[in-house]
Amino acid sequence: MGSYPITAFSATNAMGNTTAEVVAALDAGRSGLRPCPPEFGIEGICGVVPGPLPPLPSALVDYDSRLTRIAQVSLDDLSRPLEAARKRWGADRIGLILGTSTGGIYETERAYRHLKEHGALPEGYSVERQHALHAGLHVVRMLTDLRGPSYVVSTACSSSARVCAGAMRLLDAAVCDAVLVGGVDSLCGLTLRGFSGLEVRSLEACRPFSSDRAGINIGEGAAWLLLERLGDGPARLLGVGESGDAYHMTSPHPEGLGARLAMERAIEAGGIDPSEVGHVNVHGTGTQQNDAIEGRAILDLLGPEVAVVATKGYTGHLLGAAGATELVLTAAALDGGFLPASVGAAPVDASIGVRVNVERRDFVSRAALSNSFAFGGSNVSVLLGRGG
Amino acid sequence: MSALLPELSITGIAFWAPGYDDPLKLGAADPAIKAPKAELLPARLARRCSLLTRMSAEVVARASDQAGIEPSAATVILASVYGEILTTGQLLSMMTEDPSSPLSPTRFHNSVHNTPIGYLSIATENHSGSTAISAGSATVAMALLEAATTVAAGQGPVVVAIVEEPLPEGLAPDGGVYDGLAVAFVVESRREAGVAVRLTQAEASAPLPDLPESFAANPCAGAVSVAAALLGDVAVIPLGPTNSRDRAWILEVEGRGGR
Repeated sequence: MGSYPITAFSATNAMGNTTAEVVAALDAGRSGLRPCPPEFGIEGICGVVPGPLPPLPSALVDYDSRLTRIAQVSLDDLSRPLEAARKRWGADRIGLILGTSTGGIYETERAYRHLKEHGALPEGYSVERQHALHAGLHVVRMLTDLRGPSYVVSTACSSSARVCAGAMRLLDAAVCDAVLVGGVDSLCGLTLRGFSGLEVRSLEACRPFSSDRAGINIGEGAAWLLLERLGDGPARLLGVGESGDAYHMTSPHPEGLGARLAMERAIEAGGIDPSEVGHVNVHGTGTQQNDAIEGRAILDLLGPEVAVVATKGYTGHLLGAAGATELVLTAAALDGGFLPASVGAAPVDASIGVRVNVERRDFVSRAALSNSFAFGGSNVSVLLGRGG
Repeated sequence: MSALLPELSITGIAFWAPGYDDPLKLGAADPAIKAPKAELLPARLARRCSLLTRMSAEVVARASDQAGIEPSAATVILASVYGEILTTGQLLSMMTEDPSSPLSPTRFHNSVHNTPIGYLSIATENHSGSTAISAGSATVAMALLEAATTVAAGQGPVVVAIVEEPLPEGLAPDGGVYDGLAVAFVVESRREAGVAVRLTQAEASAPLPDLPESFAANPCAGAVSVAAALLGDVAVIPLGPTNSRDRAWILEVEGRGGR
């Protein structure tokens, strides 16, 4: 397995529409969480993209959805690097792998309400062009003019971390010379109410790894990383570890087996020693059980000294977009030589036993892991290194 | 730089749709074939699982058996255009009927695209990096590409399960009513068993079987054609996508004459 430069990245989420706004908020320890807007019909705290979310170009208007609009905003910062990559490699040598959990379901929720009130789906609604996972993929392909292999990974909350594994395989097998990987998910009633049904949604701002943690907040957004065969950039993709818990659909393995396996496999793929991992961006959703078990896996594998950063206090849990979003935050931290504050983590739950980074500090890390764990026991850990 | 995809063998092929379980017998439906057996799953669990998950279990088990591999040791790639769309549709109906009630936690976690992978990994104690993908009209091609690169990365054998259940009634557009279907391929590094293939890109067309009307409109129906072609004597098997913008992927079958 090779290692590949991340030559550009972008992110759109509750911290801001642009990558610069997102990274500045991360550096400043400024959370983007706020009360859920009334249109989602549920109380509590969410991570909402500030917007505005302009409509798609006229050629793509049939694909209009909250999801594709968020994706469009998130791609603005990438137009130059993508143009350079197309020129360098050719559009048909650049792959695209998108992670999403629920696609354009927000539009289908509205369509069902319309169906109930009027007895028919709304004019113009199309399950294929708005709801389907590949609708978002099509819009991103058209907006970026990429023509290489392209597909969606949908393994719930590990989707847009897993995209890195597919990209590495496409690059290793020389099917592509560059791959744009990323994730996008929008707020929708299904996930807000689904996590409420599971009784893991906090009505207050989430507090990952804190002794006061009381569950997750749901967020929305998109993030992208451009991987190229050659080049310079803010960070490098060193290795990806994938595993299955084979234990339970929603509860993690009690000893953190799958989490540990994913981290071990990422470190092995990256060809480094575990002691070289400077920090771990945790999955850290803020539920009692998930954080405790992830902490145990980190402790078992990396010991008590490794720095732990939890970032869902900035954005909420972006589900299918969480992996790529947190890879961008991890890459920004590696590039900027700092460890972000884990917003909401104080007072840290000392019983977990890992060293949670509460305040921002300057820190040079050679390599960092970012974890993403999902329903079905689907685990991914991604190892990033410093760029240059 | 040209692709370095490995030489592959397809060592197991399984197919299931209501009325059908053999890609070479696509004539009249057999009324005895009503429900997937899904014996990989515990019987009580299987009764509660969606059609998508049961069809996945059915074809993964049969293809693995045929290949002589343990499903616990394989990387499983689920490829589906709409995934757990019937469960999702039930949740959407419940939300619409009663906007204030909490959603069923079981239905909610069973609505994710990788649900079949989750249940299969638990049932077979499989800790591999199995995945769930989707790519519209390129779903069959991308599933086999993902399989080929996974084998190249030393993570084989791979079981590709291409599985599609019907759309919920309310959502199906004109012409969008079809039966579910499932096809599985076991993909391994080249060995003596099975059909020797290479995955590559080229313009191609090949005589493909007429599919039964009951599932011809299913967006994954192309997988049945691929299965039939592999079991027959077709030398170049087109995988899609079929739009004019993209180059198509093909399987070249070795030892079946010129192109």
